[in-house]
Amino acid sequence: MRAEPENVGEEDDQALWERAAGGDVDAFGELFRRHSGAVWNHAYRLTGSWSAAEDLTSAAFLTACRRIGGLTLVNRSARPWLFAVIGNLARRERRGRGRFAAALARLPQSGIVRDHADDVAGKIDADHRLREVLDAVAGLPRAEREAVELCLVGNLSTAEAAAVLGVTEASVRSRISRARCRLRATTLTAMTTEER
Amino acid sequence: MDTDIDLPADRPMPVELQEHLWNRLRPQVAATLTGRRRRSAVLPLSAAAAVGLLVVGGVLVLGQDDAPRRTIPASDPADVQLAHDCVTATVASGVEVPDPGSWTPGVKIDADTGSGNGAAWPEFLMIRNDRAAALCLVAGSSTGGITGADVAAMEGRGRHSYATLTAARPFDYLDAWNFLDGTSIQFGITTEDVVAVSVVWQDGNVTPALLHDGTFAVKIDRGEMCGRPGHISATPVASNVVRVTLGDGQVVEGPLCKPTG
Repeated sequence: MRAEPENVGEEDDQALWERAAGGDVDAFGELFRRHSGAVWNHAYRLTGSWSAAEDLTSAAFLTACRRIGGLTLVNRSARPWLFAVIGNLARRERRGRGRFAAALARLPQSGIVRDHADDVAGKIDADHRLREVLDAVAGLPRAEREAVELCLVGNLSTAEAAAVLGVTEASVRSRISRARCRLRATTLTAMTTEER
Repeated sequence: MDTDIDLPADRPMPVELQEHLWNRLRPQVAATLTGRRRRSAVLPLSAAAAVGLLVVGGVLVLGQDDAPRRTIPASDPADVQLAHDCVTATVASGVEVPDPGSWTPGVKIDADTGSGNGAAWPEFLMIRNDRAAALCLVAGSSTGGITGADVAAMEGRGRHSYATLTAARPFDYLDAWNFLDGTSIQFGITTEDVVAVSVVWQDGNVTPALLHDGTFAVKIDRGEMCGRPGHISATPVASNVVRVTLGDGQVVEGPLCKPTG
């Protein structure tokens, strides 16, 4: 578990979260500025689509805005909870339910063209490779998949994932270990690094 | 933990994209947060009123559209609030809990964290409605939400739901937590007419379970995770034997883990 919140010297997420819960839109905006990039990248890794990642990012922060009053953050950081929300939204979207699309449709539109990153060189290969990973992860049992999404895909610590999932760190490590065995048997590369 | 699977590196989010998304979100965020501020003075009163209704009523009969109606016994007001908070926390995590207002507290059990068994939450609270039961993680007056929340199971479409109970088998496994010290808490459901539940050992000894409103929990040292291959007693042959007593005195015994097929 991290010893310090991520933004040392600045107001931490919990303080911003509490201010936002009291109606401070700028505090929520600061949370968005702080985490939207990580959430956007995580959403892409869970969906393989930058367009979907934009929608998921918006949906995650809308969810946060609506639920902001009843939550205590893990390690005073909003990121683990946002990643968990992204995971739930992505799974729901993969099942074709797409509930967040309706909420997004109510947002005002602007003239900016989306999908800014889709023209980057190597996109097709990267997307193909990511699809293979996502297909393999999607085939894992739910408990293992959640742990993999948070720790291996989202790069959260096992302590943060354990707190979000409501299980012990030992359980998270166990789930990841089992998932690695399954993933090795499919399309993924061998383990090369250690858990932090 | 660094990733060990072949994932693309993080891209810096373009500033114009970040601004674009925030400009789209801001009006709805402002409306929602402003609305929260206006409602905040009212919500605690309505929550307290809801709790008071359940307590003063003592026994309420609630029903859902196509599910049998059941008599709900009175519960500790703190547990009523916990059940409500558990559902709220689960919804807040992005899981759609069906009929969020229908869940009432079942049995609550101490996880015995002081024994060093590795349990992360000191208590479990079962919650239920007419169709299904679920398990909440609890620490005092706080809750971590429903563990392993599965929408199909919460809608009563899972393997272990009230609709699957019969006169011959008026109980069923729901969930289990097996701890590092070899102990386990087994959670289950029963029909409304069950008045006592216990686990029966081969030597005849009996471990009574806690029972409340069709939910039960029992601590044992021979865990099982019903239907999950690779865990102890995944097969019905080796499953713990449960004995239930009905209100008319009839006793029914059978494996906690429901035989498949």
